[in-house]
Amino acid sequence: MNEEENPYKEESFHTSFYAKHVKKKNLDIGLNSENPEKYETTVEQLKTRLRDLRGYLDENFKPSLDLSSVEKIQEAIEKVEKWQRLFNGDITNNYKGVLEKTENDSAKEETTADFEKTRQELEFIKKELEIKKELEIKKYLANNNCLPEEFKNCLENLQKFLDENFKPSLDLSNVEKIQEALKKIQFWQQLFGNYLENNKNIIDKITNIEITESSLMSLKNRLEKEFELINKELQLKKILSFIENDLSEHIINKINPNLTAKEISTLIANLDYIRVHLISKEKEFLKFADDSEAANYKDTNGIRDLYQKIQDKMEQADEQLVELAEKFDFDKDEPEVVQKDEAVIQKPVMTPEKMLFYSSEYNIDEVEKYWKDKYNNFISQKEIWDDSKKETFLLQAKALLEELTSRLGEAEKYTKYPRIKYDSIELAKNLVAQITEVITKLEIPETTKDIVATKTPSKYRTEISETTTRYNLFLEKTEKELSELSAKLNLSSTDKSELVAKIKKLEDKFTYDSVIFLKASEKFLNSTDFEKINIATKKLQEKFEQQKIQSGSDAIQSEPVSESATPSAQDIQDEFKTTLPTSTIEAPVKATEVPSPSNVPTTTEVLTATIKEKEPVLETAPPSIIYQNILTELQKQETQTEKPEVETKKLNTLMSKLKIDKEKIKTTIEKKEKGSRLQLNWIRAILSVSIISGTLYVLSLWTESENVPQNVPEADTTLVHKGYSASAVAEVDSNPRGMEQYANPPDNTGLSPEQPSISLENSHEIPLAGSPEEEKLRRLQENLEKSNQPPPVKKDTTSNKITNQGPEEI
Amino acid sequence: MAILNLPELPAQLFSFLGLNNLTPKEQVEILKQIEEVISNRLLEKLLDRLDLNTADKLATAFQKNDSLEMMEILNKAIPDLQKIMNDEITSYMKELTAEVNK
Repeated sequence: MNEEENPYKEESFHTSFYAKHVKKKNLDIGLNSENPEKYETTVEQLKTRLRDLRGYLDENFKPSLDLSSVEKIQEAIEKVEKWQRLFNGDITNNYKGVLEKTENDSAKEETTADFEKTRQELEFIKKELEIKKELEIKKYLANNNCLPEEFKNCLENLQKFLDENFKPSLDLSNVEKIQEALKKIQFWQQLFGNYLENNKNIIDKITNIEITESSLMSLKNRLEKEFELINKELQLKKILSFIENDLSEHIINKINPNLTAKEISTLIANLDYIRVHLISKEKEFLKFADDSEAANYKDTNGIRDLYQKIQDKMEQADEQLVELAEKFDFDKDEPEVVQKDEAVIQKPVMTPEKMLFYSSEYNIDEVEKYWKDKYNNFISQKEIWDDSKKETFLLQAKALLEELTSRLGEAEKYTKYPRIKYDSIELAKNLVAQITEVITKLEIPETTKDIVATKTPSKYRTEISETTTRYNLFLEKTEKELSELSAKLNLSSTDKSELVAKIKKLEDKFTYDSVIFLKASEKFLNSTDFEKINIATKKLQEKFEQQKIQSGSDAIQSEPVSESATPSAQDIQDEFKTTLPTSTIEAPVKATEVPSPSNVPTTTEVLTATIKEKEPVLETAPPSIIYQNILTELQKQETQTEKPEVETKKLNTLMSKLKIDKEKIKTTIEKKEKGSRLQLNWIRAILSVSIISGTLYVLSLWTESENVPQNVPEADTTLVHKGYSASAVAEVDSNPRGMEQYANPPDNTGLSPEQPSISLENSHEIPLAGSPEEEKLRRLQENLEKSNQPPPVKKDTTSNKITNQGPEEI
Repeated sequence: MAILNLPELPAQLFSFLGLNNLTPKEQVEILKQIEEVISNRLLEKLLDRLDLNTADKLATAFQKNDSLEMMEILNKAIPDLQKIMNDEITSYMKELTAEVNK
């Protein structure tokens, strides 16, 4: 049945109801109107809306509703609770506002009655469902306050039930069946937990008076243990079944004598990918299989057999693939095949469920730990390395790289976890570095070295390129969406502001994804690829800009500054409805579960992690270059002299003051940082260059003021103000003819053209009255004050030098 | 007269402080420490002036590696940024001079 035929269908009703009746903006149209008739209309609309809601409740919570199990009843309760929350929250608040402004008493009375009726109906439905749930549970646990004997019977019955229903012969032949069994046992485990909780007084009594019911306790403990073991067994079987399915579906079923070199290479990569997953769970499988206690209850041999079966299959597939690969000379054949068979390659198809399985069960930290353990173990056995082990090591490294690149693919689909992608790239970089290091140390024969040094990274680059292709599709999709929205913008004027807001939202999402992608990829893509993507991204960004201009600032300004200006959870979901295919939309009833905008991490929060990774890079950026230049220069001039005692004393004073000040300000900052949501690392990084340049510049004025005639403005402050870094200015001095290169302010200067001139507001606080320092400070102050009206810079056309001109010369 | 010669600067500065015989490493080390203190003092001041929205914009600009944009954002959020910086540097240099020449 489509939406038109059944307006009360859950998803469509929720969405349309929310959009029409809950959004405050719609109600505001009536409220803000000067025309009293508008109020009338609004009140009438309210009545209709309440009737709509009751219609929906009648349709969806009618007697024919399937309430045959506790789970189904619970589901229905949750649904009705969500409507209650919506009703008692947004709906009530918005409607009260409208009713208060209405002067028509009878309309007000009628609507209020309608309102109350709807509220009661929701409450009634919920109560009814709760009673039904309680009755259903009591069917299972009829003896809620039973005596020890009955308690014992109850437990024994449960035990029999488990024996009967979860015996080793239980059909667990595929993932769906295992999933079903897992769900069932978890349900019973929960009931058992509730049952124990309800009978807590009996259990306490048994424990306290130490009556002969020790067997009862052991029965209880046994049941608890058994639940745990059944759960574990099913989970392990589920994982193994996943792996076995993937192995058959993506590897074994595809092996045939006609495979091309690239297909073989892909299958080997996929096999390695699956193998790493299997190995990561190895300990867990074997621990369970060797657990003697588990063996008393469960089919531990079944787990061992299944594990062994998968390993055998892998080995067999591996052998077959190696045999097939022998036909080819990979170094020569692969590039040719790549050109011919671009479309043949198929990555393992990851269903959303599998994707979640791989990403949640197979945690990146474990991968890293696993790799590091293997790596360290390998290094520690240096003296017994032989060719076969080298090969194993390289294969492991390769498999891990494959796994990582595959995670990049996942991250592309789940862009809300950019961290995964970033980590993966960083980890891959480290791996390549480590592998290269080992290869160098091992003096592995050239051919093997080639496999890792050229083939693996090239394979890795191929993966990145595939990701790039997906990103290009993302660009296209965004562009298409933008065009569609723009077309609407030209047609309608009433919803203009809403459309503009949508464009803005699309742009924000686009900018966020682009930044993450581009930063993560630039180092790994060859320059041509990267440039192309960058150009496409910029082009689209420009289109966004144009669109904003086209749509007019009036539309943006007309956005009401009210609560509705901030997108609600439902807004976000509605937005997705317009941009995503239906299959990816969650049922709207879950709308209230979507995190509120305040809980959604800000860009800063999400990206903060990356700055930590980037800090080492920043340390080697301009600030350190400035210091390095200074040091080099000073070292050139250095003459060895001994410090007089007074100077040593001064130095100590200076150092201890700096130390104290450093600690003091550090503590203050730390305290403030804790209480703030701002990420100081960003600001620190941004300011570092400016501060060094600024400090050195002011210091230069400070020191030069000592020897400079008072009425001559010496330093050309405009240079720094115009965005030239202090180091750049310094260079000008040593190379006066090279000024052209600074025609455009370089990056990382940290200073913008509009910055105000330097001033010395506190300079009246001269520290040492009557001392030579006082005189120096006075002169410095004058000098700096002069620099507040910086003389214009003029290029001397004859000498190409920069000269300063006083105002009178202009 | 030279516009500004950074490599000569430390010698002038330390001479001013009465420290004429420092090794190059000592001079650079002191410069770094001075910069660190000033930098943190500035941060403390900026903390009270920046809001989350600006910080988000900065984060995005940082990702684009666009330092000019970053400074523009900062300048827009704190129009007297340059003055704050200048005042802070000058004020701290005064403190240091007073301490060393006691």
